[in-house]
Amino acid sequence: MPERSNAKTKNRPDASRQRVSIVVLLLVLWMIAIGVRLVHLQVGQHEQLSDRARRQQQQSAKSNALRGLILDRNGHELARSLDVDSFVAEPTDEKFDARETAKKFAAVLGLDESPLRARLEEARKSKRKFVWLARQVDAEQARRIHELKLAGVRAVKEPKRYYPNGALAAHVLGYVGTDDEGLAGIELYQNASLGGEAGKTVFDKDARHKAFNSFEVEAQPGQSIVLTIDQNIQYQAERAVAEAMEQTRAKSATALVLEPRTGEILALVNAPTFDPNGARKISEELRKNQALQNIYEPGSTFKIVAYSAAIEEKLARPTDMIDCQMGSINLLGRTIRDTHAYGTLTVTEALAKSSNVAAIKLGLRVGKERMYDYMRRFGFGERTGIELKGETRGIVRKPENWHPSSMGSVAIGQEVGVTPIQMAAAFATIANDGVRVAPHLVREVRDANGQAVQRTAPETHRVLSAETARTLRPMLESVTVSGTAKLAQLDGYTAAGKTGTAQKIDPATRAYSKTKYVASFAGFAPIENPAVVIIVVLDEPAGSYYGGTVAAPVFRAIAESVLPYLGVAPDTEFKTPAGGQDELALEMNATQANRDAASATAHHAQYSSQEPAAQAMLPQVVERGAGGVREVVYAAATERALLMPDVRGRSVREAARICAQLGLELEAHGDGRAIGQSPAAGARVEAGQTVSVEFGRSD
Amino acid sequence: MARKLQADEWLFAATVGLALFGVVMVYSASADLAYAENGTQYHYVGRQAIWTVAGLLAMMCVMQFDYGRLRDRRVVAGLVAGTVVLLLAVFLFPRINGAHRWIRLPGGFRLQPSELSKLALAIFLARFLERRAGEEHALWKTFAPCVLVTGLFVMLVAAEPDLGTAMMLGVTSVVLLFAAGARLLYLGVLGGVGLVGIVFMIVLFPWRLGRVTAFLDPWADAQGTGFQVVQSLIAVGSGGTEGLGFAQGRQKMLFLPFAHSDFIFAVVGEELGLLGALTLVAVFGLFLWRGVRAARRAPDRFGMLLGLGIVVGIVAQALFNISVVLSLVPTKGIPLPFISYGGSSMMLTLVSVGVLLNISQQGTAQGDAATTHREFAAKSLPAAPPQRRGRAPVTQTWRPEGRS
Repeated sequence: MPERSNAKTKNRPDASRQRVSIVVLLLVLWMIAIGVRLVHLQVGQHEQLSDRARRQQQQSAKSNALRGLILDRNGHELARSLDVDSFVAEPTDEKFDARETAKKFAAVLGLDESPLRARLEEARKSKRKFVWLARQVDAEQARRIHELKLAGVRAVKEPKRYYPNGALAAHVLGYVGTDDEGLAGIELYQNASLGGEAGKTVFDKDARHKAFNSFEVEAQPGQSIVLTIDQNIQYQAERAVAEAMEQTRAKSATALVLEPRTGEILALVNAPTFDPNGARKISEELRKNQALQNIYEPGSTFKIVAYSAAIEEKLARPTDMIDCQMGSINLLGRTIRDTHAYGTLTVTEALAKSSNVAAIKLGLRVGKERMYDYMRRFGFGERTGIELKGETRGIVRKPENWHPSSMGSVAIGQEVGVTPIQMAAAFATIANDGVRVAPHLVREVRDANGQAVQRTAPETHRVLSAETARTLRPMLESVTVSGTAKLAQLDGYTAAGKTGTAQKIDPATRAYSKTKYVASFAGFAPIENPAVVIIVVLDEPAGSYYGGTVAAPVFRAIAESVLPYLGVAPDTEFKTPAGGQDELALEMNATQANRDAASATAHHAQYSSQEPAAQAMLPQVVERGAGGVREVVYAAATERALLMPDVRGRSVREAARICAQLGLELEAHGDGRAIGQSPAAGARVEAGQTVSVEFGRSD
Repeated sequence: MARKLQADEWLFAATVGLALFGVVMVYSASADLAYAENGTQYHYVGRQAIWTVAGLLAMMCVMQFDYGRLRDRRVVAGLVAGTVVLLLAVFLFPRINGAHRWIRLPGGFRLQPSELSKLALAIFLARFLERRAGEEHALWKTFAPCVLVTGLFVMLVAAEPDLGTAMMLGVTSVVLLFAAGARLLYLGVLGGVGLVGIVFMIVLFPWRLGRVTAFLDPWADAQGTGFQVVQSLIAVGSGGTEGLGFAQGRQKMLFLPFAHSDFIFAVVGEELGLLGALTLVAVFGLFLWRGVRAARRAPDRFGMLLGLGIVVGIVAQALFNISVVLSLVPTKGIPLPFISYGGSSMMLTLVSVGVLLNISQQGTAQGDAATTHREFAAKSLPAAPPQRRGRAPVTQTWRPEGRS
């Protein structure tokens, strides 16, 4: 047997049991501390430490996703990305020679050598691993750089954005930055869809930077955006606007072509414009999208609100007589005048002549609450929701903020601020039988395989009854037939619309400017089943500034090219056979000089509507008196006499257009073909003079 | 006595489980390093497996061997003397990793005498304190000799240098003295001396100060002095709740130094997450509970103290190692018992557990009779600490037996 202790019995207290317990207790406390620490590290600091772990354990190489296409409605490419070469230097490469590299690179790219060299030498000194030498180099230069075979220089593929049509639809498309990031337009708005998801290759590496494993996340190419834009219509609209810019020397111009039934924008034009291929150096001013950012006082185009409301609310009928009070109305002490003293007109005539008095009287019948309601229903004072950044709401004040006499301004399109797109949408509402379809630019989003992943379903709501809209359309047609916008008459198509001329508010004086105007025309064609709504806004045209003179012809130019292109069947006679334009010109016997005179006198018809107010803060139509502007116009008109053209055999519409172009007031009697005229063909007439034409049906 | 001798099953299971788990973790932690160094990923795990199997066999043998025989004066003296000789012998061998820790044996195996010293010291102290039963308070008769022998061991091991093991020797010694009933004053003084020693070491070897500052803010110099700790914390933290999965750890890819030895717990934390790490700590807790239970039930004071020395030595070392990994204490190289790579450590740990298992085999519900007995004898003394009152007095369980 082994020795067994018999612990010599000295009667001493033995603390062993308790002391063992203390030792165990300490160890258990230690374990608990460890447990707490584990929770702290593995739960509390997990994210942070995992992040550090990844940073040291993994290295990833990014691979760019190819940006999606931007297509027009017919699938034509408006923007596409291609992989091009960019060059990087690796200054840590032993064979890298900063001087040599800088010299040769500068030679090929036409750069300054010394700053590049300084940059490279600095990078070498600070042991940078990676320096951009040149990004997105074009193919020819890239080939030459490859031929140099420089040590420590390598090419990386980077996608570069191309806009094959140059400046076409620049404000719609926008542009991208060097990193293929959308910075404006659809490129910006749809950046997430277009951009796709960058791929990456992740290398797991050990502490000696040796990769032992890798996995790749493939780049997801971007989705493609199909726009509502039709590149042909866009082109035609841009051409027409460019021409108008040249002729009117306006500061800027905007045009929109809208399909009223769908709300699809077929063309959105701003002039001047830019080429998105090199957009980074473009000034802010050029990049601004006037169609949705430019707030202007619409003037007479806005009268459609008062007319719509009055007819919808059964406060007026087109045939009702309305007293234009000989061109003057007093509203709480404010006198608002028409240029022409009209007596009693039908409501339709009042609209055609753009009588301020009539519009205000209708507005007063509607009342400010309802007026405000209609303005909002038409979409004024709120963003249309177009897929572009930077859209403004415009300015529509609540009725409680109106001055007592504000109806005298609001009804005729003052004291309100609208954007061209809002106005286009309002006219589209009338064109679409009273249903407003939110204007939009994106038709659908397609994945990389061309499958639609998202189709736009625009918001729609009814603003007016179909009946009211159908009542309004012929009334608006009368504007082009016998009203202020005869220059908007189309060859082969009926057209309706409204002119607008508004004084701009001078930001310096906060008063209406006497020299700066916004001329606009908004309209649609054909009347019965409108295919397009077109708005043209010219900002600060030099010389003539009346919507009917400068904007209406642009409407006509666009409509006459777009309607046949869209296959819209003509609904009225063609005025002129082939080559008719020349014939017409001859017939009018109009030189460029008397053309000017003609357009100048054409204002005559519009004065009533374009009467601007002098005070922005307390707008009212003031006595124009012998204002400088008008004086000049009359001077021009009286200097140059015209010869009365022969209008016999022509339709009312054609006769009206010829007269409008010459600045003659047409007094039409009967209908059918012209059978008699006064004065006779070849007689001297003055711009602004009223000529009388008899029409009759020969059959 | 018809009682069937039965070792503590929990203790046995915990030990075998920990040892096998250690082999698996050594494989996970060392495979890449082994491949990089030796071209085969089994270099370390192979050796560890051999040592573990040998260690488990040795443990089974030892547990059949009556621990009472260790009480023999010649055995104790021989063990202490042999250990001292071996501890001196290490200085004849070249340094490995800057320390004389190993005695090289033919066949490529290396012996680490400092591991043996832990068991030898525990046996010596248990035996010595048993002999001094009732005189634990004595300074010169009891306390001083214990401190002297401990000090000798500690100095030799510290000289290797292997401060971690030296510290564990000190801890074992203090715990046994404390448990045996040494005067707290002496222990306090000893602790004060130890503290002065540590301060002295820091002053003497300023690089140790770096370890302390690195402990306080490892991130301040993450690439330098804080490197190990930072890598360890990254490993544990990135494991999260459920871990990256067995063998999925990344930090062992040469980021984490000593991933298969001193920092293997970081690999556990990374790969098995909070759940795995807590489970491992809990198993050490189980080991502590059953080990202390076995010690308390030991039939004599020698068994009680030896068992306590073994179990506390192992568990304290484990907790210290884990605390280093979690940066709860300054870095000190010390293996995690059962788990870390290292043959001597594994072998000696398992042999120690073999002794512990034998003690558990012989345990009785009453435990160390001397202890128990004297609890009641002490009743009349004013200084007697409060004793467990819930227990029925046991008077006739211990039967002195003479030498055979």
